[in-house]
Amino acid sequence: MTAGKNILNPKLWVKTYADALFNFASIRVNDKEAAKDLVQETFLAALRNIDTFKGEISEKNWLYMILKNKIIDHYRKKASSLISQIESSSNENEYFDEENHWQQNKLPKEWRIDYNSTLDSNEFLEILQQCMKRLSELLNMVFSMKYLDEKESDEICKELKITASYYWVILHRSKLQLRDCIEKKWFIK
Amino acid sequence: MKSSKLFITCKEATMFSIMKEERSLPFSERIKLFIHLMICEFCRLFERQHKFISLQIKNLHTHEELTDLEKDNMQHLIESAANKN
Repeated sequence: MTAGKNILNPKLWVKTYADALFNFASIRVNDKEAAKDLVQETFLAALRNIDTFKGEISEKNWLYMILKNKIIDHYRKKASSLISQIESSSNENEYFDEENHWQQNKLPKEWRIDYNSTLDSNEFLEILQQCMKRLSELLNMVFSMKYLDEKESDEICKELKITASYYWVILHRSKLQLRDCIEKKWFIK
Repeated sequence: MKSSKLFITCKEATMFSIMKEERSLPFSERIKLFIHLMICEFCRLFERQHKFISLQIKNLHTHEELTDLEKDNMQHLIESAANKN
């Protein structure tokens, strides 16, 4: 036995990790086909780099590390083409009037919940996911990196090659849109 | 978003509120946001709700699985790639 050393067993990768990696990817890219491809590419890249595995981390963590890099590559490829699209898509100005105060029909309403606790409701989580899917892909990327991977804003800017002020515009826009969507679907019935 | 005036608009306040969540809001802007939130109940609601949404997103997880066929295809691909090495 090689004490403390982790070993790789590629024959069991699909059986052991495919679903977990697929979940991890699909929540981050919001596109099942793309998520599946990322998992597949991860396994293939792992095989190609099998000699670089030193056994210092577990097989599982090693595969996740490769997948995370694949996801960032995926984001980066998409980001450049999406930045031009977003200019023409939904805009924060639809929420505010000429004086930049709330539009009458967009005024936030009281949700009557405890805002400081997590809501243990599958229905809410489903609505949240639906509303996130409606965001443009770029908004979704920024969101996934920020909230799921808990990255700092400057790191996200660097990875997606966007400026800080653009980052804030994206975040502002997506939060306005998401809040509005959730309110319409969940709280006002 | 820089503004020299003390009273900010709702558009600015919502932006500041998002920046504050990431601790990226300078002190002078934090004061302006604080004043705005004292007088604007809608931006107050927005702040509570967008923070709530952040909290929920962090708890998001999916339970989706690949089909057996998809897994079989993947398995074949890996085996044939492994044999080439």
